[in-house]
Formats: sequence, C-alpha cells, structure tokens
Amino acid sequence: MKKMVQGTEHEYTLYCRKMGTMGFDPHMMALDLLRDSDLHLAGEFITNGSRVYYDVGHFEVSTAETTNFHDVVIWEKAGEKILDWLRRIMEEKYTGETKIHAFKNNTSPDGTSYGSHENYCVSRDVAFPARFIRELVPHLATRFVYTGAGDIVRGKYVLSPMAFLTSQVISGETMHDTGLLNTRDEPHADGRLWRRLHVIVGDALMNETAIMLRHFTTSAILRLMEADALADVPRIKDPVKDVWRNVEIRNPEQWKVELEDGSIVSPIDVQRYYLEKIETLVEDEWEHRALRTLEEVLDDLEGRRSKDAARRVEWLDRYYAIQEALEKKAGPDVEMMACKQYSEIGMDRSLFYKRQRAGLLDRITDDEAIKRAIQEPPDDSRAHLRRELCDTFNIEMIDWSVLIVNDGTRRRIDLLDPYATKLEAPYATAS
Amino acid sequence: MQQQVEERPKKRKKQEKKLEFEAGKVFTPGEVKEEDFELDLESAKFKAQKGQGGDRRA
Repeated sequence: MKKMVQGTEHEYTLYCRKMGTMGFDPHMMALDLLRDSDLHLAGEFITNGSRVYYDVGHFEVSTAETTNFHDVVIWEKAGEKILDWLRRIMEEKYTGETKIHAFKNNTSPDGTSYGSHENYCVSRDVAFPARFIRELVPHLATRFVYTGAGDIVRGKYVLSPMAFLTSQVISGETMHDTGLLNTRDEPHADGRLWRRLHVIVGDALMNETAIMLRHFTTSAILRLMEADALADVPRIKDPVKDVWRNVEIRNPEQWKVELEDGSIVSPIDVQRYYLEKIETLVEDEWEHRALRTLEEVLDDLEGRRSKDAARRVEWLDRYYAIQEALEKKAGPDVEMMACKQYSEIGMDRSLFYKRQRAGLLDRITDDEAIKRAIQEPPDDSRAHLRRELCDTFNIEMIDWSVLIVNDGTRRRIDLLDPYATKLEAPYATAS
Repeated sequence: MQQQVEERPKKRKKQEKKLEFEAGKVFTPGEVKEEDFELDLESAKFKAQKGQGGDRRA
C-alpha cells in the first residue's frame, strides 16, 4: 500500500487531588518539565518530531508525521510514555505521597468530554465533502465495533464514547455539535495537493492492535477513494441514528444498519465490504497481517467469541475488566473506578497494563521500538527533516510546515511536502 | 579591494538540560507488584476540563 502520512492527537487529563490547594496545574508543570529536558527540540516540538502543548485544560500530544498504520502506533505509545515519565517526576519532586493520575480516555466521571483526533494526508483531488460523505462516512459510522474504547457515559456502558457523543453527519465543530465527518481544512502542507482529513469521531485507545486496525482500515479506505474504487459502497440511510442505536448494544446479533434501499445489514457487513476492497491494496507482510487480524476480529465479533475478540477490541476488554472488578469488590463506585482506571497510563495504576502484563491482550510492537520512538522521529517523513534542521540551525520559529532559522539572516524554510526527508525534495524549499 | 564577509553565526550550543529521560521509570513491569494493585476511588471522582470532545445534541 502506498504510504500515507498520518498521526494522532490526544488531550490527556492529569488529576491530583491537591491541584487547587497546591496552586499548580500538573498539565502546565508537565510541559515546563518537558521543555527543560533532553527531549525538548524547539518551540512546542520534541526530539521525536511530535508537538506537545497545553490545550483547553489538557496536556496534548500530536504525534510526528508517520507514514503507515504500524508506525503511528509506536509514536502514539511514545507520547504516552513521555507523559508517564513526567507524571512520575512530578510525584517524586512535588506531591510526595499524593498521586498524580494521567488518563488517556475521552470522558471524566461527570461526563465532561475531551478529544482524541486522527489526521490523514489525503489527495485534494477527492471531492470534499460529497465523496467523503458517500464513501468514508459508512466506515466511520460502523468501525467503532472494533475501534471503540468503551466507556460509561450518562450512566450507560457504550462501545465508543466519541461515537455516542456525535451529533450529526458533517460539522466543523470540535467541542459541541460534532459530526462523523469534520470539515476542518488546515493541511500543514501544500494545500493544492493535500487535505489533512481531521477525524474526531475516534476514541483514545490503549490497545495497540485496536489503534493499528483503526489506522490500517481508515488509511486504506482513503487510498481506495483516491483510486475511485468505492463506487458501490453501501449507502446508509441515517448514519447518526444507527450509531446512536448500535453504540449502546454489546450483542453483535442486535446491531443494525439501515441502507438507503431499505435493507437491514450489520455494521460487520459494512466492514466486510471495505475488507474485501482493502484486500486489493495489501502488499507487504505488515499489511497482510493487519488484513488477517481485521478478518479475525470481524469473525470473532460475529461468532460471539468475545474472549478472543477482547484481545484486540478495547470496548470488550474494558467491559470484562469492569465485570471482574465488580466480582471482587462491592460498592457504588467500583464500576466507574474500573472503567476509568483502565485508561490510566501508569503501568502500576492502569488496569489495561495489568491485563497486558497478564497476557490477555495482543501487542503489535514492543518496548524497544517505543523507547527508540521516544528519542527519534520517523526516518521517512518530514519529521526527520525538521529534526535535522533544528540540529543544524538556530531556530527562531517552528511549526509543522515552516521554520524560521537564523543563519546570519532570518531565513524562512517551507516544508510543504510532509513526505520530504531532504530539502532538495519538491515543495520543501528554502527561500 | 578586500571583500568583507560576515561570518555566519554558529548553531548555539544547547543549554544544559536539567532532566534526562529515564526509560527505566516507565518501562519496568518487573517492579510492579500485582498484589498491591488496587482500584483507586480517585479514578471515579476526578474532574477534567471540557476539551475537544463531542457533546451529543439533545
């Protein structure tokens, strides 16, 4: 499959019960520590090519530009580990016995929501929004059966908090009244060639396989759209209505999607349509493996082999974790504790990591790869070039697609090609 | 006539950073004592600020 620049953004929530009385915000403190560390590169960028900043009360990490569904998992996990390191330092230095929690999820217990977004660099030739509504929305409206993180929202267990909280098919909003398809158009690249598709209906995921499957399928479908290969895509009559219904149902036999012709299918059927199309794109070993994994996950969901599916499907495993907690401990808050503690990023606090250590969950990478990705950018995208320029010049200003360097005079370097690893490449020009 | 050439400023030496990333702090499952693992009530009580998440239209 042709490479596709992609990445993720996560708004992490930090919480310490002394936050008010201690007079500091751990989100800001973590950023201060990061900028005073050997991981800091320039401005809001860190050495692995990611951008880390404070955004509406959260510690936000935008991964470096990765070029495939496998690397995005590694750099996303690297961001998670960097924050966990900062959290531990804050505990050691500032809060003593008082814990600082860091959550990678989308809602707090009172239902307040925050985001986790995906970005895909897609050809400008694909007509927006018409073809995205027709060809991509059926995917976004059904993929949560295997990409959902699971959560308790408004007293109910839902398969995907972000799907549950979506209000319409298309919208430019990111905080309220959000859509399955987001219209934001900030390419951070040559806008004549590329659109940065901003997907905001996805959940913050802990499970490596779930993250991988989400990016494998979505990036492959975008490539199929570029090739005009999805003309016969199933047309869903009312995608939001079906999302709202299915997202509250754990039994796959009861999931339903109504098509425009009046027929009723399962979200799994819609995903099988895409699976068949994606099969025409797969080339290398990673892609074959991802395709097989997707097929197995859909088979396991359909065959109600829930324990097998839970190794890769986060909403299922979180549900099992909650049920196990309820068997061991009584009390009104046990369900919520288990649900939220699943998403803590600290290995000693996280129910997810406890279950991963117990061998209950499938991984697609390893700690050594994540350690390297904490220090270094991907070597096949603009992140590599940006790092090289920062190591060479004094940086006056830095953003995804532009640097102002001081090499005697102030010089602007545009990095308009997100695939460029050298300045000689087209669209990465010094002027 | 001698041409005056202004020397380009060299890359400033990075300031000494106080913190060095320690992988051992976050990649040490061996140090986690499973028997000490307990659910924490703060996980069911924490507050967060509204971020860029949805909020289903009523």
